[in-house]
Amino acid sequence: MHNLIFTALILIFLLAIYHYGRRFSLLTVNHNRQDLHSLPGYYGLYLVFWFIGPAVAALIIWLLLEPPIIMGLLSESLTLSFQAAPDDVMREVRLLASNAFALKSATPEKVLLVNRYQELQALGNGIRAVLVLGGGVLGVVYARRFLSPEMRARQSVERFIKVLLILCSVIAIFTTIGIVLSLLFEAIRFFHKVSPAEFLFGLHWSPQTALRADQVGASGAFGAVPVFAGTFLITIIAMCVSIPIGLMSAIYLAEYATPRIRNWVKPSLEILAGVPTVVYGFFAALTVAPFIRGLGEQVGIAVASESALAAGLVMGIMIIPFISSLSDDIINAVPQSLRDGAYAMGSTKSETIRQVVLPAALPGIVGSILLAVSRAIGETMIVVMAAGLAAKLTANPLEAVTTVTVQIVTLLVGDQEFDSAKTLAAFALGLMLFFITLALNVVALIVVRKYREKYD
Amino acid sequence: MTDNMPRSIQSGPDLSAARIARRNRSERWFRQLGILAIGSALLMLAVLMTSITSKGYSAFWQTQIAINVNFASSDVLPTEKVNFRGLARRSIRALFPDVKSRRDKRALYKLFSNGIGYELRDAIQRDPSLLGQSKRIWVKASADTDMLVKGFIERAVKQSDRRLSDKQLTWFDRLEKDGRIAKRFNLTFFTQADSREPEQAGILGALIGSILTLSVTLLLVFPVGVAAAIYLEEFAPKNRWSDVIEVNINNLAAVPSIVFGLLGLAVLLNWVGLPRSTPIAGGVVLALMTLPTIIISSRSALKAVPPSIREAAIGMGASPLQTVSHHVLPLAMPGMMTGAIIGMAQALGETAPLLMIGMVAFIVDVPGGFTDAATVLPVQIFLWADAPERAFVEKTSAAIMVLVAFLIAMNLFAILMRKKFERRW
Amino acid sequence: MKNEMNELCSVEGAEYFEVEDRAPLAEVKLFARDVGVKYGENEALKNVSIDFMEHQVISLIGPSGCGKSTFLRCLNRMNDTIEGCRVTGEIRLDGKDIYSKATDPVEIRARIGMVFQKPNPFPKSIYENICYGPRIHGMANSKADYDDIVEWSLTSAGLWDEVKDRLNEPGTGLSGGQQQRLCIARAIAVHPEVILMDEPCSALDPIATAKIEELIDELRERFTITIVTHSMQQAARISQSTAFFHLGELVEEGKTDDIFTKPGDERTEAYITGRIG
Repeated sequence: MHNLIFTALILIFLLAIYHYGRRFSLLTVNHNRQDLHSLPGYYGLYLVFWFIGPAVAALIIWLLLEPPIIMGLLSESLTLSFQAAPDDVMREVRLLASNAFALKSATPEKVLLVNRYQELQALGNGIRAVLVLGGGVLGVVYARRFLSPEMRARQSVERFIKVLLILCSVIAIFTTIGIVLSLLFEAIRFFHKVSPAEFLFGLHWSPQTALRADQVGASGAFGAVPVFAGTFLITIIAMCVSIPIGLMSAIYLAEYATPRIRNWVKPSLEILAGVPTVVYGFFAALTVAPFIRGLGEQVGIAVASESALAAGLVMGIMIIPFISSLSDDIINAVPQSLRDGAYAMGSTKSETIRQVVLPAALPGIVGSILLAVSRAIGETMIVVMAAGLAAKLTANPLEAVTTVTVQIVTLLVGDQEFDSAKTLAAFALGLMLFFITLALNVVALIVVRKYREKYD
Repeated sequence: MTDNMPRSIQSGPDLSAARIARRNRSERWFRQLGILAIGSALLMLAVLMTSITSKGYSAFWQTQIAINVNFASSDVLPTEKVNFRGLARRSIRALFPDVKSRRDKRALYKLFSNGIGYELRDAIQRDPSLLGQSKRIWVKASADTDMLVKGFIERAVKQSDRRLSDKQLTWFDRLEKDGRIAKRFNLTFFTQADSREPEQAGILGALIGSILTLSVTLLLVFPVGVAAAIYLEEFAPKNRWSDVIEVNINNLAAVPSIVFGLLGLAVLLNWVGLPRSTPIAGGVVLALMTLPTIIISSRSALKAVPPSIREAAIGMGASPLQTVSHHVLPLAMPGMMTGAIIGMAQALGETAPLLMIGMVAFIVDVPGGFTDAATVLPVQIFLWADAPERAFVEKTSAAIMVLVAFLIAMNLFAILMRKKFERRW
Repeated sequence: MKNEMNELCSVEGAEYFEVEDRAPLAEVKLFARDVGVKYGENEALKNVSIDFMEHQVISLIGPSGCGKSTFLRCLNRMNDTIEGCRVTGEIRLDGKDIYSKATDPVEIRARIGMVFQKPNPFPKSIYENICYGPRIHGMANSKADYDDIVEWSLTSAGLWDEVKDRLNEPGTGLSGGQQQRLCIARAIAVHPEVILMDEPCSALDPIATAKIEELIDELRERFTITIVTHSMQQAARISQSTAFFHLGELVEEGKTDDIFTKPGDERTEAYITGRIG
């Protein structure tokens, strides 16, 4: 609520400054606009940006300074027993401060700390507001001296806007860097506890044994091979469903279908792509899995209730529209002249497609399949809801297997101590997942780009 | 040239009827394979949709039972002090004077929702004139009764294998014979947040949570995405640096969503210190996730504006930035908004990254702000899908129907907008 | 203008007339009566009637958009692949109606080959490009047969010496002129009776063009050839008959030297003297 009021205040301030700058510039030339270098509004904007710049700078500096300062002040009130691991205490205090329910069951000592922490934070908020406003006002006072009719206000404003635009476009890069660094950082901490060799080549995965704090020494088994094997098993099943159906649909839509049919079928297939994955997960767990199980019972085959087959089948359905729409584009990009050449030799339509169009489109189709594979590997909800938890090294699609994403979710959902190998293992898995999908995407994008260049 | 022509060529193409027929057969076969593929994809879509709807439509109705409540007692007001639960139970017992033992009574109460005390309180608060009257009031049945009415509990099954005992069934039959059982529209489903009791659970909390989360996402991602697109499309020099940004954006668009959840957990929660389980944290994660989509669609909207417009503005002496903000941006805006709606639809259906940042908690209150603990619609679906009660199956399916309805509405809106503002240059 | 006419006549005059005299007695190979083409509501071609003589090269000339390519594509039913295209009238190959219900377009296209404006080799090896037709038409029984076919076709197309050492390299790696000759070799490998050429030299340089023209004249001995061209000189150099199209109509058709020296229609005259087109 305070934040809202503060934001509103700042906005009003900005409006006032804008008008001030505009009026000021007009006054300096006695309302003869043509004497001004730029339109009057630019002088207003110029001041506004001079407010925003220093204000944001002040805010950032304070945000960087605040945690150490609060921590320093707080550690003075820490009793000796806490001083051993101030970082952990701080983390706990922050958690308790945001969770009134947990606070009720905390020790009085901690409650005191939390209260002190909240006091300090309130103080910090006040200081922050003062700094932001003060910085902004200082900036405006400073910049006012430059206002003159000859001043190139428009250029200055535009330069500032351009910097803003550049900052926005760099956010995507920062996101990638953030992903890589955070995964890497946590994964390295994990590899301090578990050797990379064991993680990459170990055949046994049971992280749950290291649940309690006093068991940290006797940590569970972290051999990720069965987890990856499960992921690939489900992915392969999904691909077995989606490649034939998606590809044949794309071929039919691109080569045979009349525009009317295309106009109906394409959006319908896209609905499949728009269905949230949690819905597929529900469908897999409640409709498909029991169906397959029932089918298995009738022919006398034991099927696990969370079989890889059910999850893979439904994931395949989800992937169909990706393959069909990507391949459709790719097939349409094959030049008509190649088809004409084949028809003119007396090929039938299907001969033309199979022997000329598809070989020509092959690189692009492979690219789209790689993208689909990366999508399947990273898919989470379907497998969380329909695949198993226990890691099993098997190639039998009727058994329950687990996947990378399932493990990440089960390791991180619910209560967690942040330093246990169990939690950190999720980040190691995440890192592997990131790099595998990244590699698939990079290769796929290069292949598809090359392909498009060839026929452009 | 004639002399050494190979015999195989001289004989010319084999156009015998048999061979042509065989080729035409394989042609038909191939074509039918295509139809089969499309048919099976559409069939799967139909199966998915029917399975959800057939499971879910019943959740929009709820069984209610009429009881006679005597509000006559003078101790009914003020409402805080009254034991409405006791009042409700007295009214129930009045219907079945022959039920004596405590066990039987408890079994009898089980036919009704355990929240009916609150219903009576709400009734009297809504209409204080009820005071001093004896009135027939419709109250919620328990989830088990509801399942019985909807036909999910088989009477033929052995008593120990079903959720209602034979005795409860006879009581129920008596209520039904007296015309005290009715199916009414399930308002609770749209006006309440989550609950452990299926008959009291609703999607409002999750819906508000979704709206709050998506507001944060939209507020963050639209300006940033459009600004990034403008820079990359209109100002960025074509050099290695802009190539890096471009490749990076394309790759980011294909990063699995759960990785964004890990980023949110490690950076936003543990490092920046955003509060767990809140719309603000969820919104930021979804914003990072949809950013590449928004940038890509905004760029294509900018690309669709013909260069002649830019040349015209530059020719009038406008600065590049004025050209963009006065001419290019307004023309590209509908396309950008269409892209934004589609991006939001994608974010609305997203579940996995939100699990990572704790939006998976059981929350009975409707969130009131960006920093309240909240959950979102798809996560609510995930939670209910995991619940063991049979009654939650129909709730899950109904919540899916609501979610899909929102998604379809958003996409339709995007399509209509594209149709309305579409311009061929 | 006058000079150009003179030059044109001198090019055609000297050597090519003898060629026609050597030709065997001509018979009607392909016969078109009242052919019209509509794209939806658009009438692209009306009332075209031409007889195509065996072992002759016939040129279809006219300004762009006059319907000459459309007419050419009618002759092997390539227009079937275009949405909303309707062909009326009658076209017969050796007396067989190619548009009758009983006729398979695949059979027609096997007997009437086609070479396109832009060379369009399949993205396969040179060898496979040639083998494609014989393979789908079941013409060869062994690897040796295919080898023979490839060698003969490429030799006939004058390409053998240039590519015999790199038969397994992709056809798309050849130069434009070589690609076009590869496409001709690909077309003759199935031994068609008629070859249709749709401006086969328009994407080529003069040297490559000269080679193709030479090749066309050689191929005449075995095939009936119809060529669409917008170069009047080319028509004069290589064809025995010429048909002039204008605005979707066949204006006149006759011996090439007659058309170029004493055109019967003033539109023809206007076109060949460069006043329209």
